[in-house]
Order: sequence, then structure tokens, then C-alpha cells
Amino acid sequence: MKSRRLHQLFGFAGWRLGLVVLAALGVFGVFAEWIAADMPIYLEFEGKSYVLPALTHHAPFREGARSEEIAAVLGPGDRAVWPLFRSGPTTETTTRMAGASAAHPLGTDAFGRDVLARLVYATRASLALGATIALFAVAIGLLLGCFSGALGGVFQGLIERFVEIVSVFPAVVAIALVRALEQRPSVASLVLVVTAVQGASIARLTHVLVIRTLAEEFAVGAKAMGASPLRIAFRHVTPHLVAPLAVAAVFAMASAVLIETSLTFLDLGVPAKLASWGEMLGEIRWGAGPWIIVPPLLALAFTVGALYAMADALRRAFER
Amino acid sequence: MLRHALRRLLWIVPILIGVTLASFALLSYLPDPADDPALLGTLTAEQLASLRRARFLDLPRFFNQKPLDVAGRVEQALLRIGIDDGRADQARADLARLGGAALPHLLPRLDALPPAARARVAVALAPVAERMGIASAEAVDPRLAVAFWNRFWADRAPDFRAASARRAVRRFAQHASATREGDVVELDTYALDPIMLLLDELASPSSVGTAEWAQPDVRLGAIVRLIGAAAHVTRREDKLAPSASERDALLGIRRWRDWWLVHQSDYKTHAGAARFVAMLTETQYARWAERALLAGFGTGSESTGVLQRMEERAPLTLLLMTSALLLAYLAAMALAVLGAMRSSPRLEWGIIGASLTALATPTACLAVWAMQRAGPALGLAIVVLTLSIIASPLTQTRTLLTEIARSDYVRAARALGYGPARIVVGHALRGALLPVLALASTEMPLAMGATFVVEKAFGIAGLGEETVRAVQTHDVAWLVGLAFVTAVTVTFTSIAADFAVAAADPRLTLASLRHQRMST
Repeated sequence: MKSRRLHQLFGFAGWRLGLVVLAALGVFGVFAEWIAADMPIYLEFEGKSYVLPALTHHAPFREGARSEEIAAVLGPGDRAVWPLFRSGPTTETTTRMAGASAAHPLGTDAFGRDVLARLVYATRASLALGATIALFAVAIGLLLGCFSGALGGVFQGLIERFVEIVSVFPAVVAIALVRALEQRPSVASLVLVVTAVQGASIARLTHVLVIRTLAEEFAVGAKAMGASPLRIAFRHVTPHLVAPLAVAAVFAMASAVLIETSLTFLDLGVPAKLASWGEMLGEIRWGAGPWIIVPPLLALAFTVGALYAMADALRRAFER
Repeated sequence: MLRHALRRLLWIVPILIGVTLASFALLSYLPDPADDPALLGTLTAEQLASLRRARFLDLPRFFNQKPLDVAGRVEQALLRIGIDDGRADQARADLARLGGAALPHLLPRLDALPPAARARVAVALAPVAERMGIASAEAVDPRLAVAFWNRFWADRAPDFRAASARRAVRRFAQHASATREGDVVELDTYALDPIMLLLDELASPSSVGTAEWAQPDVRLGAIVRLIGAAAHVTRREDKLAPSASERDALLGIRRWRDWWLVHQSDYKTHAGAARFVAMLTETQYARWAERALLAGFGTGSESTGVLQRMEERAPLTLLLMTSALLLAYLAAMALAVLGAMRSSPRLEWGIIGASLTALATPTACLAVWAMQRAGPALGLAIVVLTLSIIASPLTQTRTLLTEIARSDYVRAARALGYGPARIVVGHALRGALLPVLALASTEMPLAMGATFVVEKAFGIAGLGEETVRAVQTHDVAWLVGLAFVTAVTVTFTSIAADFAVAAADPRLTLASLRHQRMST
């Protein structure tokens, strides 16, 4: 992208607003250990000092130790700088399904886990997951769509068949099957399947757009100059696809969270141990109250809104 | 137009093959239940082998270089009995199991074997003689057994031919008598192939109309007798009572056919071209696909057939899904038309906001919330499903209509002085109909996941409940059946959509339809 265009982008309120919201969510995700964790941020224990022991795993405590246990063994000479809230995302307590309190500002869920802590870590997981899926899906879709649109013939036939086969399986069922294959449930199955499904639908979109754009004057001009169809597709047509693909990427990102919600709700496959928005939303299966559902719902809504505003700004910048 | 439809119909074949390949690839890597250590301790090696065999795990995945038929199995057994090592007992049991089908490959060369091996082989055949009802003291005596079997073959060799076996089985099916039963029983497992062929014929509805099987009790009696004979020669317990009903009989045939699918290579000979066919069919994939497709998707892990269960449950799911899709597209069109008619930015942002909200609301949360508020009602379920799938139709129709609103013919209509309502409804909408119809026809698999969720939340016994169970119990047949039914439905609806569009706009050519197809 030319730097002039990048500069223009900041002229749009939508771009700035979206960037701010995403950055705020990103800060939550990046600094998750500083906001809620069982381990201190900084620890001086028996003459040694540890920085962010939750990340480095060098702490002198066993894995999964509770913050009260750690506080109890601290001697008079030891010092600890604690995070804002002293509970991790997977720490289970006996206060289940409780409302807001001083220790748990957003209450606890069906396993007595702190909702705020889960939200913070889920933000990290879901943003990373969504970004990965959106990126891969757009890359695959763009590649396949350009090839089938520009070359036609056998390529188009093959890619069409691939797209049709992928889109016949309900994504939820496909992920559940892949999860059944894995020894240990991981997020890899989710990334794989959602990328394939979203990539297929983006390939469809790209194909149509490429065919349509190839008929325009600048593309015909490039052809008259002797450019090959693939060069026209990637060099001249792709810039015109930025806006629709950006919107498609927003949909792909959201669908990762939504599919995970459906999976948890339908009880399909063991969910990965990771806290994520989708997994939190799926807890409605156990009759989770609004204090568990609303935070991830809002987070998802903000992300989608911010991304859409940015995609819209992108579209306008390219239309000028 | 007809050519176009035919082309699309033909294309469904590679798609379906792709679907089976994809599901097979997934499912063949599922953990083997026989690998479960808890199970391993409780089973004997024999039970384990039969468990693995029922899942075709003894076959190669896609290509069988040396398909094993009854001749090959006899060869193996002879080798082992000849060496008389630790596995000879197993080989003897194998030979007894192969039975009559093995005799044409075994008896003519009995004399060519070394004397000791010859006697051992002949004695190993004693259980076969017992099954045939010709057991005598000779058959178990190592000195006399060889002579006994040589005599047997000199007498009976002409009976062990495909044509005469077929004739004997058919005569026995038509009319019960001790002699005719004796004829079939003396063929032992050699009669299995014609029995299964005849059972297939009897199970097909077209056999009801023929003169031969016109009377229902004759037909039922034949099925009961044939299954009884098959059970006798294989020592399986699966028989039918003489008073079996039509339904019992068909279920019995289905069970036997399923068994035959797994075990037929024990009793059939691959000769000539059949050998090359067997290289492809004696594989995990081919057997699995055969079971999944030809046997009406088989029975899966339940007692009733997959197709039957699907027929019971599909109408509710289809009703839910199609009405929600219809509603979603109608609402999306209406909103998009509204947005295109008045170019007010506030309305446009309202529509965008609505579609984003719909996009970011998980179906599960919405469904549970609605259920708690208003209780179970099909209408409500449809509305919830509509709201949860409306996001993509809304965005698509909006983009389409905005694009069309900028096109030349709309500008021309405006220049002629038409009002916005007439332009949008009379001109723009017609242009948008084609892509939207095509889109709607492929939205179905995407909407399926959401439908399952709504079904669970509202306690509707549709395909979702069964699919969740199938995934949890690895019920292959159901999942492939589901993918198949979806693929076929999608293809047919999109062909119907093409016809509808062509009817609405006669200018459309084949080429344009082909182009538009990808746009779905």
C-alpha cells in the first residue's frame, strides 16, 4: 500500500476509532498477566528475584498454585508486586455462579472461575485466533480466487469443486470430527476448519470480483500491453479487491468465535483448555447468567464494530 | 438450458466422490476402538481380529496389490498345515470356516501334497463334512480321510460349479423339501454367493411384481429358508423365525448383507478381470463407501437404517431451515430495497448496524434467551434462526443493490423521470434477483450449524440431536449420509434456482449462468 493512502486513512474517523478500540482490547490481551493472575508480577523470594513468573515458569511454586498459598509462604524479607486481581483464568474456587464482589468484580462462572480473569485471557486468545484465521482465509481465498478467475478452464473447474466440497459440510460437524482425531484437543482443529470454510467462501467472492474487474478498461489495457492473465490479476486487479476482502475478513474473524460458541453449546468435542470468548459464551449451556455472557458479547461486538469501521475507511480510501 | 442442467447433474458425481473421500480420510484416522487398552485385555485375539475386520482394518486403504480370495486363503492354510507350526491350529479352523467354497481349490490337488500334510488337511475338513450332513467315522480317521474326500470329489465335482449351485439354491427357495435342502447344505459355503444374490433379488421391490414371487408367503418363506441355510453353513446364530413378518425379513436381509460385505472375500473367487476389480474394491475405502452408499447408508450404530432415521427427522429441520432462510432473504431484500430507495446515510448506517449486531450475536445465546422468555414454540425458533443467519444475506443484497443503483440502466430510468420506488422494484430488484437466488441456494450448509444450535435450545428432535450423537459415537454412516443429502439438496436447489432465473430473464445464456455459478 502506498504511504499516501496510509496517510489518508487517518483522515477517517472510523479508522481512528476502530484503531483505538482494537488497541485497547489488544492491551488487555497483551498485559493479561498484569491484570489477573495467581502469580505476582514481580517477586523477591528467599533472596532471589523473579520477573513475571507466570510467563517464565521459573517460580519456586508448583504449577497452578493459588495466590493465597503463595502469599502464605512469603516471609518478612520477601516482596511481591501483585496484579490488579489475584485470580487466574483456570483457578477454580468454591464460590460458583456468584455475582460481582470485591474479589471477583465480574462474578464467577459455573466452576467458580473468575469471569474477569477469563475475559482478559480470552481476549488474548480470541484476538490471536481470529487474526490468524482471517489472515490465512484471506490469503487462501485470494490465491484460489485469482487463479480460477484469471486462468479459467481446468483450474476453475478444480477450484470450484474444492469450494463446493468444503462448503457441503456443516463447519460445526467438521470441527467436531477433527477434534475427535486429536489425541489432545487443541485450537489447531478450529483454525484448520474455519480457515478452510472461510477461505472457500472468500475464494468464491474473489473469483467473481476478478472476473468482473478483468472486463474493466484498465485490465483490458494491461492485456493489450501483453501482460499475462495472472499478472493482471495479482498486479492490477488485487488492489480493487481490498475493500470487499476487508469486510470478508471481519466476517471470518467473527465466525471463529461464533463457531466455538456453537461447539461448546452443542457439547461437541472436548473444548481446548484455553479461555476464549466463544467458550465463555457457550457456557450458557449450564445456564450462565448475564454477568458471564454480557462481557464477552460486548467484547465481540466492539471488535466486530471496530474492524468494520476500519474496513469501511479502507474502502473509502481506495475509492478516492 | 437442459444441457446446462444435465451438466450440473453430472458434476454432482465428482462432488459426491470428493465428499466420501474427505469423510473417509477423516474417519479412517479416528482412533481404532480395538486400540483401547481397556478393551484389549478382555478380548481374545480372535474377537479382536473380527472387530478389526468389521471395520475393514485388515485391508489396505486405497489400493490392494494382492486381493485375497478363497483360493488365496486356501493356499495360506495349506502352507501352514504343511509346515505344522504353531499357527497350524488357526489354519485348520480357517479351513473349516472356508468350508465348501474352498473345496474346488483344495480337493483336486489333495494328491499332490506330501502324504503327512495330505492326511492332516483331510482331517481338518471333518467339521465341513459334519455341516454337510455326510459325517462318518472315515472323515475323522487320518488314514481314511483322504480317500473319503477323494471319493466325495469324484462324485460331487459337477455340483461345485457356479451354474449348478445357482440352480440348486433357486429350486430350494421356490419350494421346501428335504432333498432340495440337502442339495444346498451339501454345497456348504459354496452356496453362499448364490444365496446372497437371490436374497438381494428378493429384497428389491421389483421382485414383488414378478410371477415367481407374486405370493407374499412364498417370498417370505424363501427368505426365511435362504437365511436359515446361510446361518447353518456359517454357524452364525442370525436366523429368522418361520412366522417372520415382511419387516423382520428385510431387516434380516440387511444384517446378512452387511455381514457379506465384510466376509465375502472368504467365499468368492476372483477370476480374470474380477481380479483387477478386486484390487480396487478389496480396500478400506471401497468397502466403506459401498457400505455407506449402496446399503442405504447402512444402519450405523443404531438398529434402524440411516435413511429411515433421516426421513423421520429431516422434515422438521428442513422446515425450520428453509422457512428461516426464506424469511431472512425476504427481510434482507426489503431492508436493502429500503436503503437503496432513500439514499439517507442514517438509514444506511442503521442497516449496517443491524447486520453487524446480527453477526456478533451468537445463535446459542439468542436462542436460550428467547426460550427462557417465551418457552418452546416453532415460530419463535424460526424467528431466532432467521435473526442469526440474516447477517450475510443483508450484507450481500445491500452491496448488490448499491452497485445496481449506480448502473447505467438505473441512471437511464431516473433520467426518464421514474420515481425511486418504480426504479428499485421494477428495475434494480430484477437485476439483483439472479445473484440473490443463487446465493440463497448455497446458504443451506452454512445455516445448518445454526439450525442444530436452535434445535438443541428449543428441544426440537431434528437432525441436530442425531448428528451430535453421531459425532460423539463416531457413527460414520450417519455423517456421510448427512453430507450426501446436503450435497444433493444443494445441487438440486441451485439447478432449480437457475431455471427460475432463466424463466425470469430469457436473455440469459448458458455462459452467463456458468459464470454466475461461482458467485454463489
